[in-house]
Amino acid sequence: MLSLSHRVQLAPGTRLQHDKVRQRWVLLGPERMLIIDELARLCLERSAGVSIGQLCDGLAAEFAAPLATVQQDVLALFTTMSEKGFLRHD
Amino acid sequence: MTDPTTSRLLEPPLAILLELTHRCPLRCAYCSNPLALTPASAELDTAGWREVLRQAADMGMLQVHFSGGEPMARADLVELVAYASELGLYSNLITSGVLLDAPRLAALQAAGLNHVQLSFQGQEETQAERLSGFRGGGAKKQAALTLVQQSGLALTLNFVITRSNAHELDAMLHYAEQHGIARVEVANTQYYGWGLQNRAALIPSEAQLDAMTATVTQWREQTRGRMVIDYVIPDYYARRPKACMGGWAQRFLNVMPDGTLLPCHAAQTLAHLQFPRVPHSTLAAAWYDSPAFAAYRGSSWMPEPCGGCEHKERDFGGCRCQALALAGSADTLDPVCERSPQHEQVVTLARREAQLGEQPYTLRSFSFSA
Repeated sequence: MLSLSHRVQLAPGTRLQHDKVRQRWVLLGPERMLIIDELARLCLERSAGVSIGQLCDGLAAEFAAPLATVQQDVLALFTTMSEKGFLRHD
Repeated sequence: MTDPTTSRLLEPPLAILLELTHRCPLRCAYCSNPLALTPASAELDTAGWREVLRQAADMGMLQVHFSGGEPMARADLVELVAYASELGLYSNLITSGVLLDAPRLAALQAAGLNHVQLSFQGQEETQAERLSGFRGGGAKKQAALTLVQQSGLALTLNFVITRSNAHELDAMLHYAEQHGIARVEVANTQYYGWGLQNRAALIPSEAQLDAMTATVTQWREQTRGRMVIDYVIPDYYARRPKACMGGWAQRFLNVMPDGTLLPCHAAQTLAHLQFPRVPHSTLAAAWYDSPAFAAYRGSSWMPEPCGGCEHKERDFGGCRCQALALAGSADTLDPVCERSPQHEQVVTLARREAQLGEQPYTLRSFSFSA
């Protein structure tokens, strides 16, 4: 179970790429890809070196959003990505 | 260009699979290559493959799969991987591993290779050798696995499943877990090319399939978050056909060793279609303008009941090559679908073949003529 104290990073063989032709961001991995929206990209880009909890604190402050909601959404997002093999956590 | 059946803009493919060569040290009885294998003399040269890669990237494709045959049999593989990286393509090497050594792997990694998929024909050596027609593969694959893991490259193990090794599935997954593998494919052989030729020797029984599904379900549960297991079943026992290639000419482009452009690796069995070939055609002309690629795209080609079926956007009418192979016409229902009048006949055929016990394989070879 992923929790707020974990740090995540892209799994080996996974990369974040801008799809120029279709004007969107994608996560590319072995035999799979995931189309991601702006918020998901922001979460991934800001997750480097910080815990999920710290990431959520930052996002909640920046977007003046309820922390509990942000935490719930980010954990759900990262759990899905982990189960599909795009993310690893420590 | 717009797909007339959906009025949606036709997108470029997401991925391209290059059958760089049909040469391979293995002679697997389930090989998806066509019965008429392309000789080395007819393969595209390095400049030809570079041009294919350039056009693929230009069109907006994102991933390239280097496959074969054995792609490592091509002396220019490293150069092609490097060029794919330069173009921003995500590269995947689909290999048996038996030609992999430390210098080649280091060169591929330096060239920017993103992922390696290593195939295994079984845990039990005699059985694996019988299926692949190759002696000593087990040790070579183990060595390849070690090399890839030491390199830090992302690795998927592809376990090929037939009725003769289905009972080893649990041992295969144990092997993957012991090695800390993050992604596994449990790939039942598909019945195209040599696999179709050998179907009577390959197809598992429904009881074996049920046992496999239970094993996969259990392993997925206990390795959640650590190991991703992709599971491909033989669809003869299914009620609905598979969404073959994500729809005919919707997502994937396949290039044969001689540059023939196909919507899937088996499409050449549809002899009534004329498939374009590079350099005479560009990839874009094949994808957007060729009648062969348009033939089964969308749903306007569909017979009834497919045209009015609520599943048509999900399974796209199944597989055209399978409709031809099993029902005798590419324009009719994929008989794997329970709504096909031939469905019962196909299931009965599968059940009968699955009871045949150990059968001899026709191993793939260049001398075989269909």
